[in-house]
Amino acid sequence: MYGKRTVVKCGRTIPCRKKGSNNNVVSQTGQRGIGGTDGNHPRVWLRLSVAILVCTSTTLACGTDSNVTSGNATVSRSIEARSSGWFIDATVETGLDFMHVNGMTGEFYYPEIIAPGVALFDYDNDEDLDVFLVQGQPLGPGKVSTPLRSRLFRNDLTFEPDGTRIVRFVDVTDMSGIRTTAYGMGASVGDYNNDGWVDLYVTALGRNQLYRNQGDGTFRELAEHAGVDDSGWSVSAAFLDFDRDGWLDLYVGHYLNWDRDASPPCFAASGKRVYCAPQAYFAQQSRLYHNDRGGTFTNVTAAAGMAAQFGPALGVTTADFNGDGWVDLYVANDGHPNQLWINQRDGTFKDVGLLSGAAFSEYGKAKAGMGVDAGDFDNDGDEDVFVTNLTGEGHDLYVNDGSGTFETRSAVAGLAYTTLPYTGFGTAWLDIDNDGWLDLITVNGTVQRIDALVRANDPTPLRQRKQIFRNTGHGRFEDVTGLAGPVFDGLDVGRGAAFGDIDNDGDTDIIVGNNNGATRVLLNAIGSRNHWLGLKLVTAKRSGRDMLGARVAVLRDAQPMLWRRARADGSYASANDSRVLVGLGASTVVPRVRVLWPDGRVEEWSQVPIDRYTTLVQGSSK
Amino acid sequence: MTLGAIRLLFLNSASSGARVVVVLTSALAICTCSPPTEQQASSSRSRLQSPPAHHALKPVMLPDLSAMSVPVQKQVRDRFELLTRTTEDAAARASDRADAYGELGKLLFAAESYAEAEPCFFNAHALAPADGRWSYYLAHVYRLQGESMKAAEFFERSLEQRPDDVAALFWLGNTYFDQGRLDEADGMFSRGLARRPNAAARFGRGRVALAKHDYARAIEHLEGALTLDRNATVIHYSLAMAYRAAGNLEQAENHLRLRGDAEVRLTDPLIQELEELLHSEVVYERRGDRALARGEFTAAVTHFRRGLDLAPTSLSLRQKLAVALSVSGDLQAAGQELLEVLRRSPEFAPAHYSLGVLLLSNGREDLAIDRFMAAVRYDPTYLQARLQLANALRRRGRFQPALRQYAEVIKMDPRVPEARFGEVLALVRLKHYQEARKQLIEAVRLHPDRPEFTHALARLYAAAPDDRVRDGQRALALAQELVRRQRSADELETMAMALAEAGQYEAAARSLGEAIAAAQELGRIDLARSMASDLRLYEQHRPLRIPWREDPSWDHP
Repeated sequence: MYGKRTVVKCGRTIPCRKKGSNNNVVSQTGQRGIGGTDGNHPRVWLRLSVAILVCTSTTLACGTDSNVTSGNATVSRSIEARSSGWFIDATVETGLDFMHVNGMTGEFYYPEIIAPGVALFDYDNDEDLDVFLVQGQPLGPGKVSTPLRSRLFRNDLTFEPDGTRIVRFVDVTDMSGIRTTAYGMGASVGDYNNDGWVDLYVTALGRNQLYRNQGDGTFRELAEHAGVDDSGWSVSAAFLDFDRDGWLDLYVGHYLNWDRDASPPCFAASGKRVYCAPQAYFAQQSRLYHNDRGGTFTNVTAAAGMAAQFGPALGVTTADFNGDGWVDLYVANDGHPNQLWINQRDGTFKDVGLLSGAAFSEYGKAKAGMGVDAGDFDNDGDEDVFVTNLTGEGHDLYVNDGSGTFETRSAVAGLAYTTLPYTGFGTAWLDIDNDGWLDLITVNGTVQRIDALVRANDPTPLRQRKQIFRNTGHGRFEDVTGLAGPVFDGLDVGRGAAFGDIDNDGDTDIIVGNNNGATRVLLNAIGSRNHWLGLKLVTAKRSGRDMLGARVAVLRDAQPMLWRRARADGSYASANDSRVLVGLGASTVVPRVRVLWPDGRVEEWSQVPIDRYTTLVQGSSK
Repeated sequence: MTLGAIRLLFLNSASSGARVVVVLTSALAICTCSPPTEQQASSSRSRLQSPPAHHALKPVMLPDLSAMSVPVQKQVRDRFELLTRTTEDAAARASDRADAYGELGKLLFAAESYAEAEPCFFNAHALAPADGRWSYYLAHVYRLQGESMKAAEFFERSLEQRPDDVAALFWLGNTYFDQGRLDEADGMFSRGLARRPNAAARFGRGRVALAKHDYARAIEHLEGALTLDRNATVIHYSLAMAYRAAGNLEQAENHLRLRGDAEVRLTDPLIQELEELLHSEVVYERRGDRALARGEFTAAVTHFRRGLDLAPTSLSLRQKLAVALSVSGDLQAAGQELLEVLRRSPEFAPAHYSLGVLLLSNGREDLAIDRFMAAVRYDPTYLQARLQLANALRRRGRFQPALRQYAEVIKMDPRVPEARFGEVLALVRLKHYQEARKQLIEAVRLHPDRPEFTHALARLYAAAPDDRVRDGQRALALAQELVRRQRSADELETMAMALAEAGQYEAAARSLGEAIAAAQELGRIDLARSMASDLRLYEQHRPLRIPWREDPSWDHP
């Protein structure tokens, strides 16, 4: 047992902390560790007092029960199990101390409400996930006392003798050589030079930056040399090997042409000032860069057939949508038709968004389109798409029939009306409870001020709660946000979200980037209770580069095959853990694993151990 | 919380910390019973106390009015005052109070203050449950806030009072659809159709059928909806999906080409009433924009003028008024308004642009060029102004400056085909045929749906004076493609040019003869005469070396 708990019979578990405990530590022993919204002492006491007040003012039998004695609290396991959340906020304990600054001036500059993205990647190859957090800049006149920079945090994950995992993030930005200067938007990761060290691409309002990982804890900025120093306004980017030559190429999603001094003000019907809609601006052309292998890229946007069709791109994800073994691109465009770029296998792409059924809402109109992810939620072997949208629009589920043709099933899946109240950004398909079915999480936050929050003098009156949707396994989802824990009651202006196994316990955790707010570390508290398979897929070359785009089929006896893929893109302006995590439920049977490598080769392994991470090297299967 | 309970908690609390909590909690419980402070009392001016408990009404608060335009502030305050007086009047009937709440709610709804409108409609409905208006408005408030279950509940209640309300049936059907309740949604749409044939309900039935994978029925309903409302281009998308699922790809692609964003018309008097409520310059500007888009120019002028009455310094309103005046034919008044805008703000780029367009329409091209130049000077991102500047420069024979402007437009937005077309025309005028060919090849690849590029490329291959550019076989291939699509005088003339370049003079002469006949049939006598002189060339086995006599025009769809 770790820490004291006091149980109130109303049904809430409010964990406490012993005095003198290490505030930078979180423990995960399979039982609940320290939790609460931020572990802050006064807030814990406040919640306790509120709970007492509520209980004593109701007709429920509140106060003491046989499980609580003064001064010597015990825990009723059944109450704990009912009231435990699925995620805990471990931000303070892990030491991830970062506040995003959006540079707002009261002038309703549009970029204020768009960022930030976040990245999870193992930059030092010590097999745990480190974090990169994107920072903004002032947008109006005036200076800040301390330069604002994006930050790199190293994960010093350790294990206690009893198996407890200690996650601790250390700010290593200064020693890393990363010096971002522009107004940061998002981050994407990939080993573009095949040296085995994951590199970092930072998008911005301004010039983008490419940080080559030098393998010694430092990075070198080489965007201009590499030819990818896009200027303008880009948000999401993705590394992908579109020509299957073994080198990662780069797609950079550009957003809008925005000029601070030439932007007209926008007003609501009442005359009050509001942020303009994206339709008030022209879209910027997104770019596709081909990796020339020598540390440089060539802009092949026009040659690839992508120059004349683009929208204001926000979310980007890459996957093989038509099952032909070649990676395709899905781009969520803000207020414009989304695009499904199908790889023509000759260096070009064709946008089939309209005919494929993945461009519009079921109603036939473009929605906002911010966050996006591809995943096989129905375990039929193909990649389905989920896109987050604005309040009042509802998020969209596009179900793939295997050929790259989609049907919008948001309403019948239970995802339309449940998401109507929210403006969604970062999102992902993830198996929260490792039952073998992909669930959904969205981080939310509006783009227009909420009057109630303005009245409450909230400095960032765009806050909304996050949402979790559990896959029932029958093509439907249920909103289980209420089960997620206090973490999901909190209001934030959610934007980027990176998904990955931060504490290496076999379930998916989350880093949430909040606009003009604190970044949050949310650790999964339930997934590791089920069995799982963890895979790191790497090239046979000496470098051992992550094989982004590789697809994995997990073959199980008398159960549907599970398909997953190695990817770092998706969500919103963020980069995810590129390892593949597959939930196996209660089964302890070791499955067979078939890998479809990005170059088209297929291999199979029969004895991949479960409940741990295994590295599969291309060409090494027996 | 009783004092006894507090004492018990205090005594049972072991730690000092817990005792502090108890004290704080108790203090909180006690404090809530204290009389209001002065600050609390002053805030009640914008907040009504809850009426007696048996009405179960919600407190009404005003939004932050300071950010709203002054006329709207006055409207809201006046209405709130009226509500206050009515609720304080002991003699006021429940229906009067309901109306007072409801009318304030309508104003707040129109001002998009939905959170504040909600208690107004809630109270109005509670006081006058038989008046279906309030539950209808409340349902829309919930719908716009994304609270689908509540929206459904109140649309249902509204229909209890107004069972024949087609709009309510449509909206409830939509709400059920969003919740995945397809059968119930279909029921509502069917009821709406039974009341009155309407495209909205038919569209709804089509969407339900599509969601249920009943594609034949989906096509039937969606085609029916289109028949009822041809302007509702949004229907084409669902129809395309239905045809696609039914295996008819050709029809699917046809309907995708016709797809648009124009909504299905729905007669909804209660919502339309809200659109007339607010007196703000923004609202009049929006009404003017909508009227302009619908081609109702006189109405647009009226709306913009009303907006200007409220905000005489609004440059945007005055500029749009000028646009509305010009399209309704009053060019002089339009010009005066634009000059007034520029008098107030010489850097207002849209006014320079509009003035340029007016001058163009009067044939004063040089003056128009000056205005377009001013527009892009003050707003370098003004793409439309830059494109018009480029076109005007080209027409005046200033090809190099035109090329620079076209290049800027393409850099700003590579999707603008008109800029590429103008660029090619300028290059040909400068006799830069190789560069023109290169740009045309790129343009054909980028814009396969624009025959202007294919046509121009065919002619360049057939008749460019530079023999490094000409290619008879390529010209022929393109010309055959053009003629397959359309056999008009222009395409047949192009075919003739291609045949001549390929050495097939007899065939060229035959094709040109057919073109001449087609031109004469259409009354294009000058064209027919020009072609006749070309015919003599072919009869002498001599090819043409002029791609086009006059610059071809860009077809604005």
